[in-house]
Amino acid sequence: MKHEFLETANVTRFRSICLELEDVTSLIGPSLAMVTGPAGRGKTEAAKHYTVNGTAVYIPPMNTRTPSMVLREIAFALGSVRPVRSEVCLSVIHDEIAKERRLIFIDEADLLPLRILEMLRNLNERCACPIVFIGEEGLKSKIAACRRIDSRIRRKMEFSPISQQDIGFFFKRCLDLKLPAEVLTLIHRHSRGDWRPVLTTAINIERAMKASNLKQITMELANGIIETI
Amino acid sequence: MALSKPYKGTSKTGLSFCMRKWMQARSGSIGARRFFSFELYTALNIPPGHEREKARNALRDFVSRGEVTFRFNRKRKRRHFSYNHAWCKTQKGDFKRKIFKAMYVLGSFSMSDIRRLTNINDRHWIARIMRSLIKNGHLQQISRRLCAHGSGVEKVYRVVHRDTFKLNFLQ
Repeated sequence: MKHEFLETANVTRFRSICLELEDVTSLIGPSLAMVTGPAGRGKTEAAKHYTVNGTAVYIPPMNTRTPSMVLREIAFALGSVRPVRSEVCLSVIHDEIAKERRLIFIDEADLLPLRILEMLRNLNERCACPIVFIGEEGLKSKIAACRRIDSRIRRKMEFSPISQQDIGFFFKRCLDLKLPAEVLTLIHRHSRGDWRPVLTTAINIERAMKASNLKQITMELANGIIETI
Repeated sequence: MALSKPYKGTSKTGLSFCMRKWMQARSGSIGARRFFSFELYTALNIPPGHEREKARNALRDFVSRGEVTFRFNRKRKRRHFSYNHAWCKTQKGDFKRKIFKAMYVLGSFSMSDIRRLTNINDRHWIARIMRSLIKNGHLQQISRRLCAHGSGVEKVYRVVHRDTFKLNFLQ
């Protein structure tokens, strides 16, 4: 299996939001965004890919952090210093964002307490740094409950379930395999919109095909593999 | 503007550096920023002959890489140069930086993860970088796992100290 990052429709939409926030035109109006969706839809992977291939910073999840710890983490990600005092952290962030406008991804934001989200809203207003909150379904209700944050969200995006087209594209790109329509439907139903079951199925399909020296996948083989998973 | 230390015709002189510094220092309106080549040679005390030929070649290189632009001055029948302040050196080592950033963002990873995030297909090159990082104690192998295709295993590594790693490789 080839290891490739796939440009799905979700990823394209995610990227357009990030580009909009990074652009200086987003200085007019709020520059917060919210990306939600159940686990396994590729939110974190898309954020990491965007971070690695650009100037954005990714703050890894850690739900035991206090607001000052989050501030220090952002200051370190942007300016490579970790000042003790929050005021110094703010000035570091301010200086770094003034030098270069960089996007900040806050992953698993649904697990963060509301006071951290409020602090990030303040940070966004004070330093004009664009922030993207990434989280599961709980994030939507959490933000909706706080009017001050909700009204400042510029763009909202829901990672939609993966489509049959995405699965077909994945098999074509990573396994050089064109799946019959019924097998595609079967895998799509099994995945329930999640990438992880598709990946597990693809790994097992490739192993089975190698072991049996097959060139094409049949419905029976796919059924057997999915049943064993 | 004359530099405090005039250019001397020794080998590896930093001629381009002196020229760049002089050209960058010209400020004001576009008319004031423009210069003729003889103004540059005079300001840097470059003697006529072989030395000036070297400076002329250097100026040609500046033009070819877009650092200096010119237009023909009909009145004086000479090229009128101006320094392009927006020019910047091509950033080298972009792929290497991507690899380091991917390692930092992932924390623990295998080579396939790095290839997926960075879109770099040359696994031998990634392996070479990883080997040197392991040798210097920045990465540590934590486990092994089956490759996705089923034959063989791949090693899983972790960044030993994330902060030090960032300070050393992502500044």
